[in-house]
Amino acid sequence: MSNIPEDLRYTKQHEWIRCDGREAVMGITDFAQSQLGEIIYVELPEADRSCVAEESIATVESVKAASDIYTPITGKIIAVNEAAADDPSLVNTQPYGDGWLVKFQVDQPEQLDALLSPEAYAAIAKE
Amino acid sequence: MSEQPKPTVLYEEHIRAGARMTPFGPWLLPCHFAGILPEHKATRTQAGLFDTCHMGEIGFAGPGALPTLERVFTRSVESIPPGAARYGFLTMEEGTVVDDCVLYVMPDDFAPPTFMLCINAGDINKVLAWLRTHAEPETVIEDLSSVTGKIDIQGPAARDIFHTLLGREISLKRFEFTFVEAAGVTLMVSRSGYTGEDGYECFSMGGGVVSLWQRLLEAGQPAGLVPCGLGARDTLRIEASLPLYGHELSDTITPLEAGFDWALCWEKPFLGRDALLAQKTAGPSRRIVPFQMAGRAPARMGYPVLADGREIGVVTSGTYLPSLEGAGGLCLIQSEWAREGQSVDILIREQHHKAVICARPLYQKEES
Repeated sequence: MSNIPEDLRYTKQHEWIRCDGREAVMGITDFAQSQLGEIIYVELPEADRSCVAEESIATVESVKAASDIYTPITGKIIAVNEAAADDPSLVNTQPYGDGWLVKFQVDQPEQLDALLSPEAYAAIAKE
Repeated sequence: MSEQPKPTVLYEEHIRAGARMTPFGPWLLPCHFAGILPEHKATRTQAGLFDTCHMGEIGFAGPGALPTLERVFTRSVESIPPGAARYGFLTMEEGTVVDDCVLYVMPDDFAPPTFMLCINAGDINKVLAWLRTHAEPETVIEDLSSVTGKIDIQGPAARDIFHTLLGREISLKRFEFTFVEAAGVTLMVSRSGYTGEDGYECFSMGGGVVSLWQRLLEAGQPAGLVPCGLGARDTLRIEASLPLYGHELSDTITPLEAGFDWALCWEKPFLGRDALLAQKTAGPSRRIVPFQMAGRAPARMGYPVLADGREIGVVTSGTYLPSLEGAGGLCLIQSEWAREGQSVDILIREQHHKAVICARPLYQKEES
């Protein structure tokens, strides 16, 4: 059973997002990191660029495969997790903590309502 | 009509050990157990145990067997003493590869068959059909794959662990083999493998593979033996710069292009020799060479290789290589760029990433 925190929202592509007022932070879920296997490379976007919902903004690679990461919302990237780029295993060991990927300034907070609840995500986070 | 991938006899063992399974051609095998990185590291520093039951074994017997094999196999068969094996190729008239394989010459008291060919797991039926098309009269060709199990034990501690189970030491040179009784089973044990490490490949025609697997893991546990999946098998062989059919060898790639001039016996008229001789004389226009990425992004099979602003070839295998703590692999590129130290670019998601062409193998064990 993968870990699916109650205070987050989720996407069908197995990303999570936590919103705090006008700022949000995202990463990949415990299910995603477990499916990928050992992550050996994280490619992050430039901070300070804008993005639109469902745009591919990052890549996470395991030994066997590369996986595109999509932004769940429209906004401006304000920070990226260099620690994860330096030590990709953080995405495996702490997918919801130190393995976060990107921080945003959120344009339209109502976009989060369209994302999956933990229950809805649990239904798809299966082998 | 789609067929389910076939498990090997060791399937239950793998599930019990928590393996993540994956399809590989028609087979269902472990991708990894504890993880590709720890399994790779264990094989390089202690020992790893690999389920290779999926590989094919073909027996040859009868008066036509030797001339058939001299015709289809690129090494000189008559020069192989009984109890020895040789790596070589089955090539088409055009010189391109049907399969890479190892030919074993059986000692008299273990014949029939007189010869055994160990081939890739990907398409045993294709190779069998091709062999039958090119067989001389009075050749008996038998597909032994479904009755032959195989386990590879590889790593610096591999032979010692096997000897512990056997209760005695066996002394073989590389690519020599012998028959032993271990864990109640008759095994054909060859000092060979696909990892760049020392170790054995253990063939069983009489069952007992599950028991052997269990007993080896038990005997090897104090020495750090771990079960390993296809993920580590691939990272290990890429580091050792060993080819994989379908990547560095295929029906459009020749053994010369792949760097195996030494495995071609020019003195006998094997199928494909003339085409290969012409290619050797002209010099192959492209070559398989190892590369290492300058940065951290891995280059994978199919990614274009560029130099001088244009495409010069393609990555044939690429991944993260644990012993190098970086990304690398093998590529098929135009010969003029295939020099050690040559800088190239590899296109990854439309961005240029620097790489350097290396000598083979990418990973070299330090001689102790």
